[in-house]
Amino acid sequence: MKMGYGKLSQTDIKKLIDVAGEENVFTNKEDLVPYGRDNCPYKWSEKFRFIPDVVITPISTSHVSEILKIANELKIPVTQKGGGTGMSGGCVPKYGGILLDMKKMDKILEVNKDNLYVVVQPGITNLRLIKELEKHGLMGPHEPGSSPSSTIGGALSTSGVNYRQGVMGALIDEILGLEVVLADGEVIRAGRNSAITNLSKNSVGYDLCHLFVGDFGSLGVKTAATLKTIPIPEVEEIHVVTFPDFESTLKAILKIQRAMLPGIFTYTAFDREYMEKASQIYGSEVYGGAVLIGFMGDREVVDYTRKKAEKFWEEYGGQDMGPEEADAEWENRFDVYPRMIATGKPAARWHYEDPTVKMTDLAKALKKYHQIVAKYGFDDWGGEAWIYDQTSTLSAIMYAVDETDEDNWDKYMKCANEIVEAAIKMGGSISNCLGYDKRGVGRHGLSLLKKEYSTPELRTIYEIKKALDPNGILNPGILSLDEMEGV
Amino acid sequence: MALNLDYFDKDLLICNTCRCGFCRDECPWYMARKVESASPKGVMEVIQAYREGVVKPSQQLLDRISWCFGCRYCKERCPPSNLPEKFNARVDPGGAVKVLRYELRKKGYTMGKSAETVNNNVKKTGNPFGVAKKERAKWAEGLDLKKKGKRIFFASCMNPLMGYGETILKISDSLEKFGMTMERLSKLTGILEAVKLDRVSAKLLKGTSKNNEKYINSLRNSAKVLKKLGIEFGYLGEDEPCCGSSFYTYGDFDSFESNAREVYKNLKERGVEEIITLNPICGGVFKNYYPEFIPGFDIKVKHFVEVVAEEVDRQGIELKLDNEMDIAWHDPCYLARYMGVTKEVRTLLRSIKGLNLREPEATGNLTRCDGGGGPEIICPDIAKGVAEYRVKELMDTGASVIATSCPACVMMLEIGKAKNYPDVSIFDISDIISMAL
Ligand SMILES: Cc1cc2nc3c(=O)[nH]c(=O)nc-3n(C[C@H](O)[C@H](O)[C@H](O)COP(=O)(O)OP(=O)(O)OC[C@H]3O[C@@H](n4cnc5c(N)ncnc54)[C@H](O)[C@@H]3O)c2cc1C
Ligand code: SF4
Ligand code: SF4
Repeated sequence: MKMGYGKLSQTDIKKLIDVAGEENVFTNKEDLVPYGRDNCPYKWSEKFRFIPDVVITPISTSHVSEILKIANELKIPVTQKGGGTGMSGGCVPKYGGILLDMKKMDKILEVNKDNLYVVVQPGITNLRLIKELEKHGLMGPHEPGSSPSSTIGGALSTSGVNYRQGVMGALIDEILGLEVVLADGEVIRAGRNSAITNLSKNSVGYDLCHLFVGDFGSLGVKTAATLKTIPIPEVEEIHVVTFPDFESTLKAILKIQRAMLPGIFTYTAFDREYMEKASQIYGSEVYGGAVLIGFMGDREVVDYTRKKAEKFWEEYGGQDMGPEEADAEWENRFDVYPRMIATGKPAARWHYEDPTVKMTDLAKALKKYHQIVAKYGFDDWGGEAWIYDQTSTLSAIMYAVDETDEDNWDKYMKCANEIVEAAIKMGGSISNCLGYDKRGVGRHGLSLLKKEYSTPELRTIYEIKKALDPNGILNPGILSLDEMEGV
Repeated sequence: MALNLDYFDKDLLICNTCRCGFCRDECPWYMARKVESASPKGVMEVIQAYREGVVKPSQQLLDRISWCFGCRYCKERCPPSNLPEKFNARVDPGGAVKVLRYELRKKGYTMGKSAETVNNNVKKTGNPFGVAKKERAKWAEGLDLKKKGKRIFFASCMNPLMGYGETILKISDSLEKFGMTMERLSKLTGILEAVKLDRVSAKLLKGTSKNNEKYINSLRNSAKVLKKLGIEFGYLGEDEPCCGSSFYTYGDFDSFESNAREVYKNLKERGVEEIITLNPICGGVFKNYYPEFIPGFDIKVKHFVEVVAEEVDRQGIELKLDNEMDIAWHDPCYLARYMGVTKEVRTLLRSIKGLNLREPEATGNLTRCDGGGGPEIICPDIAKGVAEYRVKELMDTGASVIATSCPACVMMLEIGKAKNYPDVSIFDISDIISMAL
């Protein structure tokens, strides 16, 4: 869908100002520059390459709708941005045009304590939502590592994973309904009940809501979301358990999982390489493997589950590091990743590959990733696994990519691709939550996507896109949709 | 040695490769504007683009960055900044903003009439308000303070005169009711010139002196408390210099540097070894900025609260309030983040019988700015919004009064309470200690 896009004239800008108000429309260079990148690696020399022509900070659904009507008529690309923490160039205006910064739409529209849901605008950060719901005795629906700056709209559009998915589920489980503005400005309510969109299931028609989850903004602009919440339980306990090696870590987790114990809200497993990196930073001891495991519920449930789990981890040589270590680890859970960056060589950015594999392939997958990173000579910052369920585990490897070192760029592409291809070979997927286009904007076209999907599937994806956004104005370039025509 | 943006090379590299944005959501400047360029993360990209010639110097650019409150929340929240020291990974967007202001001012752009008037006042009269020197020393009348000492009590020019500031902001606020927005007013004439403070009318002075009373009382209370605790100190009176904080804030580093050298020389000649200050802005400026310009700056600087906490503990003094009070403590940015004083306040306040300490959501070293810090005279309506937000956050703790320890914070909280909490009292910590001692 490589369309000839229009160019905004001064008159068009004036129209946009009439719609959104002068205080919400920005065209000065200094206001545009910070919209050029997200959190995936960029060549340093290209960091100011993808600058929008205009930034708009809409404050209402009708703003968004009117803006899209204008854009669609003029065939102007529109890219939505939340926190900009995405790691696949999703919020980057690859074709210029209009950048919708959604963060001014950050209100909580309804907190329903009886039916346990919350209705929010998309621009609220995940951490702010957690804090506001806490005031009502409720738990925030989504708590990713990027919570202080990522938004619920961004998380829905990337189909994110989070620290509490053991109990809360991932966003795909928690979403009840969406308000979406389509490319032509039409506003739809996508959910299991067109009037209120807060039912978790029905049996009438397509599941429109989930169509927009993980769409990276390519099918519409999310302007409101209804999400499940739960009451904050009486007790929340975090434990860090270390193991002699990563295999025993995983075996212990599997055993605990299969016991179907109630109230386990998180499992994040780390391998030796990860702990070696942590040791360089904090001087901590290195173990063969570890798991961050969290329990929640009332006291009796937590005690019951912990005691059972303890028995299982002890079978595999697991050692509880005690509350001090665990609390510190938990407290740091958001900051660990951004901190890593400043511990490498100057300008060495943290790069995170996140293929999905089955629980049973996890150890093999991480081993393979480390070999690939070593083959290409990158600084290996370790592997970790965010366990969602048995079939879908986020198998991550982190390594340093120096954005200023352009000579290494091709090597980095090859390395990253080899990692995800290894996962695909195991029956996994390119990405668990971060997205397809992780190697910088629009760099690998369809080639990698074709390894995961067959042609009829790609065609179906393309037809859906064409039906909802015939002019291809929404976030062009994402998921290589702009190259899918005639596939 | 004037600072330039090279000083921030590593900050820019770290932030521009990290881009985590954890500093953004709670930055007061961003909360007011909600656009990336008005945020610490965004401004680091703007500064990088400026250095590479992608963004050109302009009045527009200086206007944009003139609204950063310099509150240092960003530096404190930044994950790389919090790494163990060996990584030397500080990222200080607010600091870089001040240097960019300096660079742009040198190119002939201006921070606006209000800011320039303040700086001219400091040059002419030794205080930001352009008030006669003797006015500044009046607070100490009858206290019988010694004029000399190795340790001096630094009254600052804000504490004795902050009522002027409060009056100015309140006048601008009322003008707004008549359709003249403060922002426009300050653009047109500069608030300070607009109310002709350097040629104050009798009527205005009346209001001012009333507003000034509480600031003066806090100063008197603190001097009395120090005396009661048996702490030896001198007060330089009319000879007390201005630390020059506004030069730094509004990007006139050349004047800051010459003033700082003069002040240091002056203090050294008087044999001063230690400064106790009630105003954490002066304290923060002495502690953070003086050493940047005066290598080997060797005068110890302490806040009133540090000295009192230490002494109360050493002497085992029991503090008690006659009437129970629920107090929300507002950590001033300069006290918590520039001077690093947060624990001492809690130890002291918690030791007072009859005082129930309430902590707001943003507290300690991650405290929230209340709109002071400089931009309140450049964009007063924005600063007022920031203040209102903070007052609400403090009152949401269920407290009945607010306490802090910074004249600019007292002023902004006074402004911020007016709409929704007009009856709430704002105390300086010296007032509380004086009641409890
Ligand atoms: C330190 C760090 C830790 C991270 N940890 C996690 C983690 O634990 N789990 C996880 O899932 N991810 C994680 N990520 C990745 C990233 O935070 C997530 O992808 C996040 O959900 C993106 O949200 P955002 O608001 O920053 O979105 P952006 O980066 O701004 O945008 C992401 C995509 O969403 C689209 N979009 C944004 N808002 C809207 C809207 N209103 N309507 C339609 N489309 C929209 C954009 O166009 C873009 O395609 C992490 C990233 C970092 C930097
Ligand atoms: S110093 Fe304060 S106002 Fe300025 S950018 Fe940092 S957080 Fe924002
Ligand atoms: S200043 Fe620090 S917290 Fe803010 S974006 Fe940069 S690295 Fe992240």
